[in-house]
Amino acid sequence: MKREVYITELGRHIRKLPATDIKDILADYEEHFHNGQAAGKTDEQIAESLGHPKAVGQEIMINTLVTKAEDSTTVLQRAEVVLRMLLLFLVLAPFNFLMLVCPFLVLFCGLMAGWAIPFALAAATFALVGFIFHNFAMVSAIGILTALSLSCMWIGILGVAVLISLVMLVLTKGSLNLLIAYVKWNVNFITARKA
Amino acid sequence: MNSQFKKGIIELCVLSLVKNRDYYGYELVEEISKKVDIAEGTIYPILRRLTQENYFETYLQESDQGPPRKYYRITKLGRDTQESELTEWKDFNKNINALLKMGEG
Repeated sequence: MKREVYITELGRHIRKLPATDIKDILADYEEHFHNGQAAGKTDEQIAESLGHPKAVGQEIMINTLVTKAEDSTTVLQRAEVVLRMLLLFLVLAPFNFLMLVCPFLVLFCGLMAGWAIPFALAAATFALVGFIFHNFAMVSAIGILTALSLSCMWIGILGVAVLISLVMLVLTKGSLNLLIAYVKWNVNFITARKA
Repeated sequence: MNSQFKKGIIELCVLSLVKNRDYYGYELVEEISKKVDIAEGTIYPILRRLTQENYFETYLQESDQGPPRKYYRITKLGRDTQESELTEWKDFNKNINALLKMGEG
């Protein structure tokens, strides 16, 4: 493969990166070709030992995503990066994708169930308090004091719901970190296989 | 050698070489691929990451053949990282050797 073809092909596989990054990366490989030629090698030999531009490009993309995941701070950003990595895996390595997706699904279901608790509690609280005060006959029947104390209890439950939410936030963050570490381990596995 | 295992150790090799003296990409890659069977193109992403993590700084230097070369120089942070990773590697190596010895009986 000629130098120009190699560089163009590599550029095509990393085209989603910022323009300055693409320029920097391609310059490294250009330089490598020049030095290889100066050492008396042909373009074909140099391209052969570099590895296929597609494999190299995909490795660069995964590395970028992993770095991005580690740098992003909010849960939403992290979740987005994890999802994008999973998609990349679906294309790159379907078998590894299965290995990734199973723990991912288990974690995902667990987290969803956890998040459902505070929301259900909050919804129930609002519904009950609303129901009692909406209906004045109800308030007079159980007495205003009982109604108020019941409301206070429900505010307490609401507090518990908020507390559970906070715990879930920490758990979600932890799970995402775990996933990212697991993805990194898989990345090494995939990219090394091509070496 | 198992290629997954190889991959992890390349980073330490790169750090160790550059700790000794400044290298430009091509000679660093050649040095490593002489000893380890690896796709040379996958070493550049490692160099890039190590630079982004401030283990290396780079500078351009003219060469008599063709365009200027990008050289990698180790930083204080890179030096410290190399030392701790080397210690880790040595411990790991020692333990594995001990286990292998047990296997030999």
